[in-house]
Amino acid sequence: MTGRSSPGRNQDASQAELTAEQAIDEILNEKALLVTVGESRELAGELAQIFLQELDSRIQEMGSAILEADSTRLQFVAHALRGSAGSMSATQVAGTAGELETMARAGKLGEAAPTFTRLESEIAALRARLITLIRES
Amino acid sequence: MPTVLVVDDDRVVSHLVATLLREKGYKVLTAFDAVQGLMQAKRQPSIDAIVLDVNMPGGSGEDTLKKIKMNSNTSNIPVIILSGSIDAEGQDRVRALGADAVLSKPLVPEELLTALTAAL
Repeated sequence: MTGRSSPGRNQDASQAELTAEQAIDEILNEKALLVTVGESRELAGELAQIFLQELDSRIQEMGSAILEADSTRLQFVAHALRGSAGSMSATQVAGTAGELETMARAGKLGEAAPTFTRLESEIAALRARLITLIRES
Repeated sequence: MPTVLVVDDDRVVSHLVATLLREKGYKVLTAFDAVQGLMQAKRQPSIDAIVLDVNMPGGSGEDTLKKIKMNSNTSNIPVIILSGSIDAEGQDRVRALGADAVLSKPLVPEELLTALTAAL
């Protein structure tokens, strides 16, 4: 029996593959983005470039708003990032930006710092995917 | 072909909408805040429809819609609201102010094209 994989093990492997694929899709759902842009890789690349051009200033502004406890500014910038990320089918970043927007609206900036740290790492993963998308467009 | 003014501070959405509409033959003008949008709507007599975001710098989309509908030069231009965060009450408000359609972000291109065709 050695060397043969059991059905249970195959199922586990398929499940793991599926979960990994879902995680990749949550960073950037390329299929959904391509549907939005009418399957134009060129347009998808253009949108990725525009998104990245605005990203650094948005992150900087959100960080400053949290440090300065400026909930109005955080709400506005987080809303803008949520919208752009949603349009790019970047579900994870859109969701976390939405969490920060909700915290800012409720005036709960004390809870924002760890969420912002998570957002920064999600953005790093998204940035890498977008750079690849731009290269391939 | 009709001219559409796209008013949205989100440059990703603005570029996406403008490109999709140009591909369908529309002439597209863009504005990135409420003040610019209102100015263009008043100054450009050729605008046939406006696609308007709700949350923007320089004034909300609701205020901009109100001003468009109160100005005799722009009151007849159909307005399609495209928003990432409009609730049911907000939808009722913008419809009462004269919006022809209210669409949610992320953008679904077919929904926008259908709304534009119906409005024009």
